[in-house]
Amino acid sequence: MAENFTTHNIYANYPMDSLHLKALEDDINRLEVNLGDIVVIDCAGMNYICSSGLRIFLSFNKNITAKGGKLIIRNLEPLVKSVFDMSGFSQIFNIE
Amino acid sequence: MVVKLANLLIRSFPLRLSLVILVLVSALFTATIVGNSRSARRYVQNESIERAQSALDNTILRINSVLHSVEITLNNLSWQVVESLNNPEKLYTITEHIIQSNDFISGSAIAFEPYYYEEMGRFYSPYSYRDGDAIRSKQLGTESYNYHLMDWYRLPMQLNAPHWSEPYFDEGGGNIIMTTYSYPIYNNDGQIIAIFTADLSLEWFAKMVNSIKPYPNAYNLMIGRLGAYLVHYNHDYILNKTMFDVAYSQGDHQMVETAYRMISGECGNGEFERQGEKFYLLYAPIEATGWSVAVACLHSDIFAGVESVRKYSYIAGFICLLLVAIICFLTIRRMTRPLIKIAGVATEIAEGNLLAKLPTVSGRDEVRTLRDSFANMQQSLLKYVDELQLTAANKERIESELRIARAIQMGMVPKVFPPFPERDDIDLYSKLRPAREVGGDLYDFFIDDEKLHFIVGDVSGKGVPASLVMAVTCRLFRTIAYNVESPEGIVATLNDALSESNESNMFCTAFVGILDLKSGELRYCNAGHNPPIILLPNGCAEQLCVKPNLAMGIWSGFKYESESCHIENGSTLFMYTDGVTEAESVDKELYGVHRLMEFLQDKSSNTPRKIIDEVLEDIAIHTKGADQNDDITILCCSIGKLGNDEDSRQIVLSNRIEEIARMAAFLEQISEELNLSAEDSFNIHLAMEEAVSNVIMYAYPQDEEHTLTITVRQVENRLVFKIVDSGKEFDPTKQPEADITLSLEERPIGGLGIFLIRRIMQMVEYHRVNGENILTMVKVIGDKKDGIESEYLTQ
Repeated sequence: MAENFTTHNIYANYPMDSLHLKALEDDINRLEVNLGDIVVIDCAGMNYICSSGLRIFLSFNKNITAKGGKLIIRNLEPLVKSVFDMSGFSQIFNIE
Repeated sequence: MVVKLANLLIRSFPLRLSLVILVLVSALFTATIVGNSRSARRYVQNESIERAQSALDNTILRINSVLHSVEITLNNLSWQVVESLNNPEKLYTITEHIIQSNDFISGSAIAFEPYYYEEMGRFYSPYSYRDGDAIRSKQLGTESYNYHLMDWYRLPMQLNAPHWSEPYFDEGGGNIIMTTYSYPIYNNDGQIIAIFTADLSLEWFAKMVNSIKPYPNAYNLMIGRLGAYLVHYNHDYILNKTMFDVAYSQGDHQMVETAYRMISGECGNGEFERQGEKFYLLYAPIEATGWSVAVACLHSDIFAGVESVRKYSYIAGFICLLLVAIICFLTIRRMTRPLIKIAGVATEIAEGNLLAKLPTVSGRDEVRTLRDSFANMQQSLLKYVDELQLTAANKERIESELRIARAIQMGMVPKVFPPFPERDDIDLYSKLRPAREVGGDLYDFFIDDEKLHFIVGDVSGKGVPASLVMAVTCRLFRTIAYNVESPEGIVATLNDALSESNESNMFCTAFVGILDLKSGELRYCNAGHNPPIILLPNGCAEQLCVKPNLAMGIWSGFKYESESCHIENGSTLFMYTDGVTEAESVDKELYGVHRLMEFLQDKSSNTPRKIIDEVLEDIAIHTKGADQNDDITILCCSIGKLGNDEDSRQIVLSNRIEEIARMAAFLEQISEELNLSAEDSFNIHLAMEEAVSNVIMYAYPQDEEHTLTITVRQVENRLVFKIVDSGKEFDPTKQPEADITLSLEERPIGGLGIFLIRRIMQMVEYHRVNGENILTMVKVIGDKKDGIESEYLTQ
């Protein structure tokens, strides 16, 4: 990997319900993603996710991909992972 | 090798049969040959003995006649001797005459006692003998030839009788081996004065004896009184050896015994061995001299014919047997070859090739019969298989059609239970169980304007015909009941419709009711159907009082009458078809209304589903596995507040997003109390948040304060969630669902909420009632998505 590419880390260690969406959105909006950058969202501690949360992930992923970056999601809790599976997100996200 | 042969024998019928025939025939053949050869041998032996014997007898006869002629000659001339005694010289003429008169006599002498003629001295014996053709004479007795001591002189003298001497070599006399006949000559005083003799050459005897030739290898012998050989092919034996010498030197006791018999003058036969060859000996005596003549025949000569015949028989027999075996094998193989082919074809047929060609059999024997039977079997099989295929295809088609028909029929009656999960004032369950794939029973219900319309019916008959009428009745009921207010109107309309063009005179009994869920008033019309049973809150089960009226489809225009009654809260209506009460046990005993009523006592607190399951179980106990003989349908409906208040929880939220936290806490409490799994709890939270946040965000204008109510109620294993708000009409179930198969770029951001709700909840229903949005969702606890589906599919 070339050195001038940046890796951004976001820690989303809270339930992704309607009340906590703002925090994630803020984190994401702060990022400046360039071509070749990698954004890692660490979901350890995220024990819940609602569809609005999924929507944020989806639009962020679209956004980054459009800019030539890459989104990686890490440490999904099993039940949250099942929501990703249920909604077909597991196929369009890089989940580690 | 042996194993291979044994295998071949086991596997090859022709070979085995040929072998058996070969063994049997050769046993018979051998027995025949042996028997034949025994009797032939015996016959040949007797024949040969007879032949030899007659040759022997003939020879003896000739010898005897010669001996006798010699004796006669001497006897006849003895008087001349006596008369010529005075003239000694004349005696020569007598001896010469004797030789002349008998060809066999080789010499003749008249030997006198010593000094009979004083002038002649001690010895006087005129003697004549043959010398070639001439006859010569001389005086025999000299000092060197003292005939007085010789046997031929001495023995007749002592015996005082004529005598044949033992053969001896005559030195000075004839110089040949000879035997002498001695005849005593008496004077007037009766004293013996001379011995008159005639010599016989032994060569002559030998010639005589050797003329016996019954077989080429036979040889002859003659022995004297003491067993000395007189005639033998070995000339050294003659007079030098006795038969005893030879027998003892060879240790042949049989020969010794034979020799004894021979010298004692017996006639007979015996056997002996010489140099490994078996000889057969025939013997007979010459009584005059006491000798014995024998002929020895080689065994192999006697039996040569028999042996060769036997040998040829064996060879011929062996060849015959071989031929028999080969012919047998070939013939049997030729005859059994079709069998092998038929067996091969049978295997082929068994493997499925029914058109395998059978071999042609030309004969008219059992093989032909077998082949024809096979051909018949093949034909029958072909026909049978064809028929079977056709039948199977037909059956399969009919079965498949019936399966589809069953699915269609089941699709015509409501089958989603609970049918009104959003209502807490009514619980309804029903079951239709056709006796065959399809049946004539029917039920239907729906709520229209807070009124429960229902029908339970039974078309006469069973199976496909009944099912067609059932389908018509079902559809007609739906159509009519939405438009006709009264039960008797519904029944009358149905009756008219069914009576019209009812060629096959099918009819349908039915119970039709309209229950006002608000007032509890039940109006009903019975068309010849079983009266329903009502289970009162106090546990009593009573038959509803009904007018029977008339089954539908019989009489167009019949005036049906309706009745009405009040259904108390907490009561349960139990409607059924006669398949229940007429369920037969193996002993043809009916289940009966009485037993049903008894069973339904004290069951009013049970859910309809439990009541139906238990009744069906009781029927199964009664029928004890007997085939269901009629369609069974039960419709059971509980009226009034369901469940206890403790089971129902409610929370009122205002239309602010922060209220989501309260909802979460509320749901968590329920999860804890009901001990839900983490997964159920998570999913319920997710679905509810989707639904509630939707209401909060979109139902009301943002700046107005409004509320929404969440009710959670547990009915058996399911949780019924009801969200009620008075906002603007919004049906989330109509919203487009997310397509999760799309790629990242194609995926729209929205549509996920309702998608997740549908994935989590087993039922989602929206109603707009009295200006309120009512969203009802049902979650089966501890079950996957298909929980409810599997429930109604078992019907």
